[in-house]
Amino acid sequence: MSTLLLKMEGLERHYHMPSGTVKALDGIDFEINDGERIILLGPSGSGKSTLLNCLSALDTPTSGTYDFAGKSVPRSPKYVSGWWNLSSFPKNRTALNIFVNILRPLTKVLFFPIEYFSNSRPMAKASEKATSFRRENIGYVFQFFNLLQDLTVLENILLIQELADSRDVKRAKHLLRLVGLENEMHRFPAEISGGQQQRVAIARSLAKKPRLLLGDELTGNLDSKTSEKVMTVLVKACESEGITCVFVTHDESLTKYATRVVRIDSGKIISDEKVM
Amino acid sequence: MFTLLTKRLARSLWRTKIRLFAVTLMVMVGVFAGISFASYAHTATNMYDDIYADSDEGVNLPDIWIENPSWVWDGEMSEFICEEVANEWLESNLALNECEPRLILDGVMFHVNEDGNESIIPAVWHGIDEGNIDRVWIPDNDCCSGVMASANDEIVIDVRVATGMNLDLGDTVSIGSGTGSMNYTVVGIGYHSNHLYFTQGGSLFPSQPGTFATGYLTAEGLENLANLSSGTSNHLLIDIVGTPEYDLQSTDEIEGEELSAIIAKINSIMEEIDDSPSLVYSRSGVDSVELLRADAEGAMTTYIPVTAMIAIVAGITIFLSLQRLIQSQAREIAILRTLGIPRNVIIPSYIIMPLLIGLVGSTFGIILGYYIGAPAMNQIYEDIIGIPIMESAEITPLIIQITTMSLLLVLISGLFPAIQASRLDPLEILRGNYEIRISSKGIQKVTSRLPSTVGLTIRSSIRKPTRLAFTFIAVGLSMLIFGSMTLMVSTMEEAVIGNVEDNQNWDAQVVVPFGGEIEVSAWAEDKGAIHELLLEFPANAEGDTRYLMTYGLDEVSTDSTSMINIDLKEGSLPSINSEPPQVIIDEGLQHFLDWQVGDRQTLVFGATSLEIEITGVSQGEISRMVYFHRQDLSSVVGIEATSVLLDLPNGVEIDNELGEISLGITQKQDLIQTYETLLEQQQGIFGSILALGVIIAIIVLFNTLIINLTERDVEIATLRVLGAPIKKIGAMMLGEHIAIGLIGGLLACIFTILGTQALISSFVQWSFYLTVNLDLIIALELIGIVVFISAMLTPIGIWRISRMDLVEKVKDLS
Repeated sequence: MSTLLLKMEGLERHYHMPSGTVKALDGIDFEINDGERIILLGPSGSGKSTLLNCLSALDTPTSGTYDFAGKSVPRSPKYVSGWWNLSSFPKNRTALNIFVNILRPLTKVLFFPIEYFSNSRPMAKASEKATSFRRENIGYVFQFFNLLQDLTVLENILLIQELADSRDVKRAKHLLRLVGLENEMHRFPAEISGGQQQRVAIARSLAKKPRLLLGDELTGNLDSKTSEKVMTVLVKACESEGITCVFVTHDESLTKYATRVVRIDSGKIISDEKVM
Repeated sequence: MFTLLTKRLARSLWRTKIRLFAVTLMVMVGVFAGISFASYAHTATNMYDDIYADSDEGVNLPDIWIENPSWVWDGEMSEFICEEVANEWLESNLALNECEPRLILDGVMFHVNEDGNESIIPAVWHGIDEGNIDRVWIPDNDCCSGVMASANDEIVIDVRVATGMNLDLGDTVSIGSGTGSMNYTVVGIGYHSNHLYFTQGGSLFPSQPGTFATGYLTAEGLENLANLSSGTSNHLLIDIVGTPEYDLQSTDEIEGEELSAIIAKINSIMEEIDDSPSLVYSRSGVDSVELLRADAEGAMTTYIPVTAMIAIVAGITIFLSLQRLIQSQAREIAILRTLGIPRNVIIPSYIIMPLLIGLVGSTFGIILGYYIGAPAMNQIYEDIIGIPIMESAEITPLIIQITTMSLLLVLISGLFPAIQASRLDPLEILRGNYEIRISSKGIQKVTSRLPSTVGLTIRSSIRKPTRLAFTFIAVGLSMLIFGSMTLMVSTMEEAVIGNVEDNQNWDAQVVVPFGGEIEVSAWAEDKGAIHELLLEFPANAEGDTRYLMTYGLDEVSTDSTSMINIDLKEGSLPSINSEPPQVIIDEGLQHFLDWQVGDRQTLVFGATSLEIEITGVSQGEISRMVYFHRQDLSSVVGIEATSVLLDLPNGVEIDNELGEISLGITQKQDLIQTYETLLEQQQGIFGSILALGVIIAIIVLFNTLIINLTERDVEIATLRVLGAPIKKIGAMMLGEHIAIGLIGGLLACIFTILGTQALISSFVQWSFYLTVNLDLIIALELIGIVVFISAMLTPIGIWRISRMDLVEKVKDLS
């Protein structure tokens, strides 16, 4: 029997816009077990990327709970807007508002210590906790690969290990073998193809042996043949490393690589199906 | 279309407010400094021209001085020389206007201060007869009052004496000149051309109040004081109609050929009619006049390069900012080009923006320069030179000149980025290849064995070599302002205080009249003071009109306990009674005349020529000097001594008895204090210039490091999303900043040394020679400051990263 990796209950993420409140996530209840490969499908603006951001602790839910491996995931404290921010003034072009806009930089400087201790410092601390959570538990693969162009393929993987104080050249080379790029390890990203770059990004995301691998439109920048190859490599690597995966995509054809397909629309899960 | 593009560019610039502020500040600083320095330069030049003019308001400066350095000519001889000069006057365009005898004597002033303590102050007294030439300057200003002395017991004292000793019209002063003392009533307070720059003979630094005095009596009044017969003089002032060109000491060319020919003729007349050596020179031989000219000329020649230097630094910061802006807007520009917008529509916006920045910066610079900089610089002139500014320079043309120059440089700095923007290849950009910039293969190879974090730090530091090179140039230039000032002060301090403190072991130098050394030596023996005779006599190298000072020492030694310890740079000490006499020359003479150890050269003492053999070269002297054994020099000039050096035992002080038998007493401690006080007084100015350099360096480094950081937003966001702790990124950034700081600091150091050497060589001249002391502490200080500034910008980078909205950034990454 597989064990529960993470659990979200009543998760909401609301954005306050001038035109009104946008409910990007609207009461998500979601559980993921170890070893699952989940594809999150949904149209643009459905909330799937926001959900991914909440899963990686990049974004802080407005309400609801999120536990990872039985522990609550760190989240940023709510921003306390003090009177010194003069934010309650309407943004119209009245003389008072113009005066307030002139005054604002001054109050920002004058009240910097209060702002720092009431908002900046707690938020920075929380942000570091969230970063630490990602470092220990999350791997991330981006649509545009985002490899560091100044580092070789091998160095890109080693860098992530070094930042986590766990440099392991053996593992880095093993991961490159796993994604079929052992012969390209000393080449620079610009010298290999897009598909190869994405495979390096996958190896990089596995460098610290994360428990959860997240991918945001990770084949969105590749042709279908390369996408197939990348996904095959990814599934193989995740199975070999025993890593749970959540991929956000528009591409229905990727569902064949999933063990579970979750559809989301208007911030709500509308279907959740096991594939195998 | 153009308006829309300009508006878009303005908005983009406004988004980088801090950088925008920094570059505007740079332009402002450039214009402010330019106006301030220009105002000083033009005011100093105007003052020089006005004061010395041959007009009713000016002092009618003589064009030729004939000086008797040994003693005096009696009235008959004085008139005879003037007649001979008039009779033998060369056929030339220069017509003789007047020849006026003048008696100028060293002496002392006996002053009782408010605490009741009496002090003996070295002084120079002028006996003015007709006063048509070289008049006492009593301008219509709060500084000055009264009239010229007309009775034999009246005196006009210098403004600095009146201020320093709290004297006013009607007060009585007690003065002496080797034969007792007399009282005179102050009837005027003014200035004299020989003492406008108020220094004690030979010093380069203005005397402190109460340490030096000058006064202007009637000719008869001074003759009475010195117990001399009527009509006695030791100077003949020759005025030529108009103001002829004269030979400058600072150049190798002969600027005033006609005047030089007349001087040569007068020299030959003097050789025929007077056995004792005499000196004939133009205004370049009068220290005070020459110093004011050199100051005005130096200010005129340096203000444009200094302003240009700051404007270039501002231009570099604008250039780098615009280049970064274009890089970040490359995609937009590519889209516009794809949509068919022609190149010539894109260029103007990128030219207008730097001009706008230039205009805003210049406006603030003009306001600050006009209301603060220029008046402050004029105040500095008044404080250091000690003369009231009668009329400031017309500032409007200077504002136009400086602003135009700054705007031109700013415009040029915007041209290249504008052309670069118009030449972007849309296809390459839309393919995404434009933003990929990787370090060179060489750097990659060198750093491949290092940990990836270190390798990335190094590679990303050097990823944009052009930007880095420009940054280093800008930092180097800005630190040049700081460094050259520090190095100059250190060099001057070493040359003045160091030389006097370390190489001279006397407490007082007592100037004596002809034969007066016997009385002073007797006084010293009576008081148990160690004493040594010193003979100083002016001379010049054969074929060279510039004067040097020969020193006859009883003990020519490098021993640290000797009265005057010679800092021998090369060669050996001279032997006494050699044939020809052996001497040591200072390194300035070696530099200007290319005289070397082992050479035999000829010195001219008035009508007497003397061959000498150079055995060594000394260092540390500012003026030109030749050291003899006193006995060797005395046999040539016919004088035993001109002063006595005293090493006073504890408890023995200079007294009135010594004052009355001397022509002036200089105390070593006063010399040191004069320079130290000057340094203290000028702390504010030094501080301002040092701060200016540091502020510019901060702005330049800040600009580049922020650009480096914004350029790597995607990289850093990726690392943050992948869990890189901010401390690690901060450490990488600190490493990068320290590396940039170290290279920048080293370059700043090299710039400073080269710049200071160039600066010093630009104003080094015959009467003022210095070599830059390569001080390791200053070098480390410079490097340390740049590294410190660079490292201190790391928290700003960390703060920026900590504020990074990763959710927004992830949208860009995916």
